[in-house]
Amino acid sequence: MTEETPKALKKSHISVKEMLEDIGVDRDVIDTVEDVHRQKVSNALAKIRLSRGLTQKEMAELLKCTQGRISKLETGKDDDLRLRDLSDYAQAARVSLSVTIGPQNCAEAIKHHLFTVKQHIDQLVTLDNGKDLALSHGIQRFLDQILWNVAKLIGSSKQALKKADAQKASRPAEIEIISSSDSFAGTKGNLNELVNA
Amino acid sequence: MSDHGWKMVRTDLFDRRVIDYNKNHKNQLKAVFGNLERYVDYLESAPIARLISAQFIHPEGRGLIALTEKGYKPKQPPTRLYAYPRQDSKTLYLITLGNKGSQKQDIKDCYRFIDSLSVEGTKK
Repeated sequence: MTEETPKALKKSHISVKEMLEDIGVDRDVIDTVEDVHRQKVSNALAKIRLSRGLTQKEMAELLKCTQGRISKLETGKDDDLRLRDLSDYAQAARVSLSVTIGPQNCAEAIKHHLFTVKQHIDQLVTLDNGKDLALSHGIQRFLDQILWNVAKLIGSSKQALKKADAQKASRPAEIEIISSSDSFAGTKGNLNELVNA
Repeated sequence: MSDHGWKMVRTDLFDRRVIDYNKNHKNQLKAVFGNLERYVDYLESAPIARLISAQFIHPEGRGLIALTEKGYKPKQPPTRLYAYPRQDSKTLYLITLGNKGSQKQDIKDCYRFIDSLSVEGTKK
């Protein structure tokens, strides 16, 4: 009996779902794959471990649990994960863990992130003690870069809004930033100047 | 997967087995494809495919890996999806699918396929 060597097909795929659709498997098989795809947090746990070059056994040793437990966390449902599991994992892999509670829509999320950025900038500015000139200049340059990048980003998004821009061509552009703190005072004016420049 | 350019290439044998499993052992198919989805996702994070380790991944020698049914509920009979990640071309070859009974022959088929890739490579 001659054994035939499997032949590679010409078509290639970048997603499992797309490949299964091409083969023509039943919908419930594809649904299972989509369900795995949706488990973002448990998948992220495995990716954190892999990016650290750790095996499940090594991770288990760090967390003082069994390899089976690690496997269960990484292949389980996000809904079954406990906050404690996440913080233990983050600590063992030496990565930071942040939990965001709040923004549900795009606009709210942008405001939320801007506020977070502002907090980080404030933290950075506290490093400047006024004695180290090089450090002061470095922070200044970094802030200038951030300002430029933000302006560029918003500017390009505004350009994408061609229709809206055409309609309101007669009135000046305005960005309204509403923050839960007053720390954004003055930002509105600066950004408007940059965007309209 | 697309971020780093990994792509999947199937074989004719793989397609035949998938169609058979889809008809006769669907839960086993769901189990291994669920793990394939995970593996493909991991390829994005690991700098070297061969360093990816998880309970459902079995190294079978010569770079060949078997993705098992592990982790799926309800528990399924041993099932293996044989794949060969090729780092240089960022291609994941999906070679065949089988059970414990076909394991020996499946691995032989996979090795022949891997050899054929090397021959093709030298021709080019």
